[in-house]
Amino acid sequence: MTRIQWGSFGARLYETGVDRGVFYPNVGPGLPWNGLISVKEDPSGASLNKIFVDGVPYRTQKTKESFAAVLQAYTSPRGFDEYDGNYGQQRRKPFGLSYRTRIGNDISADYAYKIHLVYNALAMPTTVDSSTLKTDGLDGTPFSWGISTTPVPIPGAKPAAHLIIDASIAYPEAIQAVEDVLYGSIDGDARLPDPEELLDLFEQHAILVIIDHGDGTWTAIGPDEAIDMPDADTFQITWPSAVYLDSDTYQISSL
Amino acid sequence: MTRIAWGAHGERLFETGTDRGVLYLNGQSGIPWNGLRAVKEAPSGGEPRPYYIDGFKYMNIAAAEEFVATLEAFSAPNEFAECDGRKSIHNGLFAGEQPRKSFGLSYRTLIGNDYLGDRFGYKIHIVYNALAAPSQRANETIGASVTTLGLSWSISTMPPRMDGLKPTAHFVIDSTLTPPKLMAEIEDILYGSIDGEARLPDVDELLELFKSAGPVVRENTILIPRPAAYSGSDWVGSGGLGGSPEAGWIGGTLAATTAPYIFTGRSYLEYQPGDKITLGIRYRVTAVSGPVEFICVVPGIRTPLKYYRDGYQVTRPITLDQDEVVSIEWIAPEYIAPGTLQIAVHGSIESGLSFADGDAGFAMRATEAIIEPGWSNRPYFDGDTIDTDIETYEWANTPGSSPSLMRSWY
Repeated sequence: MTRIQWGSFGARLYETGVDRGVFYPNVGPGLPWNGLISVKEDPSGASLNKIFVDGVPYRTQKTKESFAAVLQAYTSPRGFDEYDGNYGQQRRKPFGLSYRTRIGNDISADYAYKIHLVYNALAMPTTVDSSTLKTDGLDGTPFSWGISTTPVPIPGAKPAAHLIIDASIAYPEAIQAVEDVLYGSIDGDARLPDPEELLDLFEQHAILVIIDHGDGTWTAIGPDEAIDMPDADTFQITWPSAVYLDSDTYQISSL
Repeated sequence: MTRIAWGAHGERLFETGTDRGVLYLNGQSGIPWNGLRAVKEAPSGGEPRPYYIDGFKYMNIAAAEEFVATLEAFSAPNEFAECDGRKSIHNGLFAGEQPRKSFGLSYRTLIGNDYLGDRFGYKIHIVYNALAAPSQRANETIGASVTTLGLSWSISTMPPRMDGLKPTAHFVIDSTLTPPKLMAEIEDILYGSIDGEARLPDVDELLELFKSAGPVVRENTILIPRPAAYSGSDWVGSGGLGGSPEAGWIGGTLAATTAPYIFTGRSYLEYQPGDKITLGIRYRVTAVSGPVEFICVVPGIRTPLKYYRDGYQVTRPITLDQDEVVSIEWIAPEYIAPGTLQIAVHGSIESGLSFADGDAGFAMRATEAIIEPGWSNRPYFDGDTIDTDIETYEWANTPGSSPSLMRSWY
């Protein structure tokens, strides 16, 4: 047993910055969002309602949570205009969005990053202040859009509109595959994969792969450090995704 | 008596800082919260509501109070994701807007004073059943200098039920008031040790820890109040009443013509003139054999050369009935140095009686011999007294040769 250590070497993490904004229209490839300077995540809901019994809180119940944010940018992709109702109070369309935030630590400012995926975002009308140029130069007042979202189905979780990929945890191969889809590659244009496809990408790049054949049998594929065969009829899997539920039951998944 | 002194050396206290944040999730060992930089406690409720009658305030009742806080950090442990509405659906892939899990939290704040700085002591705060509310994250592009993202979470709590106190989700352990041994035990639980992983003790366990090693509430400052041996040549025989006194009793057979006495142990305290001293003592007198009809014992207080009763110097013994409990509130007439105050028990023989050496004796046990500042007359205890559910006993230092301490949660 060990005693807790605070602030150990390499564990002093912080988050900073935003970059690699990509706008995903309903149709067509993803477009880089140049000039994106901030994404203020502002989830709403999940307010806490309390039920009291005998004068003391008995249960705390929270309302449904919904992802919302405020984007600020000096400009927006040309294709974003019709999603902003800019052609004269037209019906706004939902779009997808991805952006990246950075994770630093006490060793490196480029320790890792998170890729944020936002589905079914709807931009809300905002005011635009246009004023004459000043004598001291350009006025860099940014545009701002509030966005609300509609959750999409997530395999293995409740519907959500906001997915986060943490590069400090995910395997580099999985990150590479996801980025190839999100940012485009020689194999295809940039696009926003739906959550099921995203999960498949992670599954395909898992080190330990579990394939359920649907007939009560399954196959495990993995390196020697994960799967060991003590004898010809016995296997032993040692991997974080293999966990005992009780003394006779275990659960195993790709990881 | 002394006049109040303000700002005395070492008493200029202040509180500062926060560190040692630990996140506790159900079924997992404690996780260090690196980067926790602020815990802003903002308990809600508790506002007094006044009621008026005839234009005058009639009642002022406080509403129920709840612990609420805001956590600020540079980062959060990965395990905190599920408390922040993010569920891991694969290695590194998290879905937002998921059900939030409640969690436990501990953090430390520092107590400083005027000569030790912030090293005087600290408080460990324990928060149960916390629930984080969604919070804003202002991701902004990196400019000329790196600006770290200030993460923050509002947390509310649901107090666990507990006996004897109004439920609360926030406990504070003050190292300046908690016995060091208990403090170390609690920290071993909270932060982990060679014996076990870091974990959050539940409320009952926490209370039990303090019950078993709670703060000192009484101290018997007299050394061995029960007579350890009879005294001097006034006694005949080698101890033991008729060879078989009751356990814990000291006695012997009397010589025919003398008045023996036994002193209790000596107090560890020093007393200034005017200090109030409380004594309680109980005796038993037993005739063993022979024509003895009456033996008296005398409570008294002896400084090295003087005897007092009820605060007055006395020269004559006072007779007590058997098993009578005597409590004396006494004002120290002069300075009494540590180790000189004793309770004396005298035996004497009624005038006119005569018997041979060894024909009679008496036994004594000072069951309530206590010398403490302030009034108290409760059964004597020592460090070997058997612990109860709510009280524990121990010797302050050497067993049998130091004050005995009683600790109690209540």
